[in-house]
Amino acid sequence: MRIVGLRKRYREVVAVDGIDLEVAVGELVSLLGPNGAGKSTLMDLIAGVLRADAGEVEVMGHAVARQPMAARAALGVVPQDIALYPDLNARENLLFWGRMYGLRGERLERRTGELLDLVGLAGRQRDRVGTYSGGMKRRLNIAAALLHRPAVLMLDEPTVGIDPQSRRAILDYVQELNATGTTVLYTTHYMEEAAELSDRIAILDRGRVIALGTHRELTAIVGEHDRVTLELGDDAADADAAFVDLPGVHHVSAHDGRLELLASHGARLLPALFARAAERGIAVRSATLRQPDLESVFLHLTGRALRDDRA
Amino acid sequence: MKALAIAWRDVRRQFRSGLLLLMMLGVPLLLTALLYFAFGSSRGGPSLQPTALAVLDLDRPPALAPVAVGRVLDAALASPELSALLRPQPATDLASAREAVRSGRLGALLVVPADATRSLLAGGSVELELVTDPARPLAAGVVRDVVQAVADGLSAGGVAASVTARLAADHGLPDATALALRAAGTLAAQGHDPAAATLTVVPPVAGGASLAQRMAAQVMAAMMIFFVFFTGAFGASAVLREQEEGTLKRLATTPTTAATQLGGRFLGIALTLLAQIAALLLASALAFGIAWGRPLSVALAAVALAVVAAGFGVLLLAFVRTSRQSGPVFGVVLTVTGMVGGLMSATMPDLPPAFRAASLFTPQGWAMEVWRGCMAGEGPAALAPTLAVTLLLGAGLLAVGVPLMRRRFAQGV
Ligand SMILES: Nc1ncnc2c1ncn2[C@@H]1O[C@H](COP(=O)(O)OP(=O)(O)OP(=O)(O)O)[C@@H](O)[C@H]1O
Ligand SMILES: [Mg+2]
Repeated sequence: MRIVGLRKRYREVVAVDGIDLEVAVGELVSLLGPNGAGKSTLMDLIAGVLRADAGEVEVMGHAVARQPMAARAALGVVPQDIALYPDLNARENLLFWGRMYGLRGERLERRTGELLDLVGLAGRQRDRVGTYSGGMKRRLNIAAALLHRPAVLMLDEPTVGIDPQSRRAILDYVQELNATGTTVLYTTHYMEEAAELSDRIAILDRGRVIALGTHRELTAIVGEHDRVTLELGDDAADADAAFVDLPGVHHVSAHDGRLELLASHGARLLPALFARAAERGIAVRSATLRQPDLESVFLHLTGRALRDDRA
Repeated sequence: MKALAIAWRDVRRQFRSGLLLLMMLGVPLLLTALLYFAFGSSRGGPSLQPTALAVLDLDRPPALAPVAVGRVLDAALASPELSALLRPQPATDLASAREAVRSGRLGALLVVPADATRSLLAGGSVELELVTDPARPLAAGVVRDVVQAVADGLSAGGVAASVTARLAADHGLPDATALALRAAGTLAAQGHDPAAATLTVVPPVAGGASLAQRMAAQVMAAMMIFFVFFTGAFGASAVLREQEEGTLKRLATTPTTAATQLGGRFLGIALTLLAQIAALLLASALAFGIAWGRPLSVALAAVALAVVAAGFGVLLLAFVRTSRQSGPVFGVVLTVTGMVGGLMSATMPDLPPAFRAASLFTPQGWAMEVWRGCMAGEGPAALAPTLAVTLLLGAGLLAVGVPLMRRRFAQGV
């Protein structure tokens, strides 16, 4: 898959602002970015659902703009929001989506059966999807994109809002599919998922790829900077000013009652942090020290935290 | 075929919704049933005045004839059982009687031809001409039923007889349509024997029921049209629901062309509408004994209704932003246009002509015209003008609505 100079603007927002990205056959690339970074818009552009203002996308050698049908036939798209017919049952949903990918007859029946087994819904296949739990819908939402064994699979935050067990199962399918040759573009705002799954990670912010590489390459950007998180409760809002001038602190950002600091030699900084907090009358409920991770990379590159929610 | 899969998806979703199903089939049948039983039990009903029927008896029976068709008819029509339905009176000349029907002073005119008795006795057929006012379909229907029953009795002189009614060409009347009733029967040998010739008139036992049926037919046609238009509108707005579900966008990520999607969608709407119409026609024919007309005319009327209802639905879709709005918007618009289209007043006799003219500004009014003709027994040829207008209207609505829909749901449809 090749993306060159891709741009898309909605009235006042530039959602995708000149993205270049190549994904090799069989590779698993994660798109990591906060809310509104442009991840879903990028996926829509790749699938040809949206028309780009500029730039080009090629999927398995087919230019999306000129040969949309061939490009889509090679793609499997798992949308961010559940996109299933709630008044049809799981089986009817899969049969329908399979037909839309040109499957029919015995092959369609067989693939439908296989995928119902894979996502553990064979027992509930005759129940209307509207009666399913969120996790069951999510799994079916994924299955619907796999019927035609796509060469390239795109998943848009497929694990949002489900229990850890279902989440584990989904990550396992994705890894399994990738292991058997499927190229995967995996969108998430969970850095742990990106770190675990990906060959390479593209960090997206405000419509741009601000960093691209393996997990190791990306964390190396931050170098020896550790990440310190202080839980402050209600005081957090103006507390960042209290710590910026401490020696060794590179970035401070406050959100949701937490303070995120990027610092060289975080362990050595802790006593100074607590001293400063006591001095200013700021109550610290807890403090966490982490080795460099993708969160730190994002903080380092943008000065902001990756997640503004911890769903 | 992907288009078929899309059509089947839509039909299935439509018929799976209990509420929609109730609106498509339950409510129209229920409303008709209420009226049917209300009138069926009151034997004639309070609202229908007896129709003034002029009988122009030109019959000149041979001197020794055992029976005179004109006189038997006169006697039969004057029987007390029919007094709630008919007020027969003799007419003296054809021209003034026709004029009286045209101007509404008379409800109907029955002409017994000069050779009636002679040709019946000779084993030939007798054509009784019935002139009615098309602006009063109920009265016309009652008179036709009664005269037919009487004629049945006449021709039932111990022989198998068949009576068919047909619409004849307008006999020189500018507004009124002439209804000719052909009583075709052959008298067998014993028919000449006055003792054996049981020329009794079968009184319309189902006289009250016949009226109820007549009213039920009008109401059923009106209710069918009313609710078929709802189905058309909701069928068209299914795309809105899909947009909200995200399934429309998902469909756009599959290798399915816009043309296939559009084709499948309209095939689905057409199948849904035709299934609804067929179910209503069949159920009402069985439950209320409604005679809908000639099969080919009925089929054409069903297609015209489906096309115009789908067209209006697609146009209405342009005025609805969300699927939540669709209920209230369709409800208001289709109720108002349905009322103007005469669907709520289908059984009211003697509506002013302006009302009928106004109804033709709505698609429902045209659909009702088509079905009225169909129920009057018109064949495809006689039905052609109203059918053509209705179909063209439907095509025009689609021509406006479909591009709007495609532009709005550009990522799919
Ligand atoms: N249909 C639209 N009309 C206007 N603006 C839009 C539309 N869709 C997205 N945007 C804007 O484009 C930007 C990128 O949105 P997008 O949905 O691609 O982000 P995302 O990275 O997928 O976020 P999330 O993690 O919340 O799903 C946002 O600022 C958003 O408000
Ligand atoms: Mg998104």
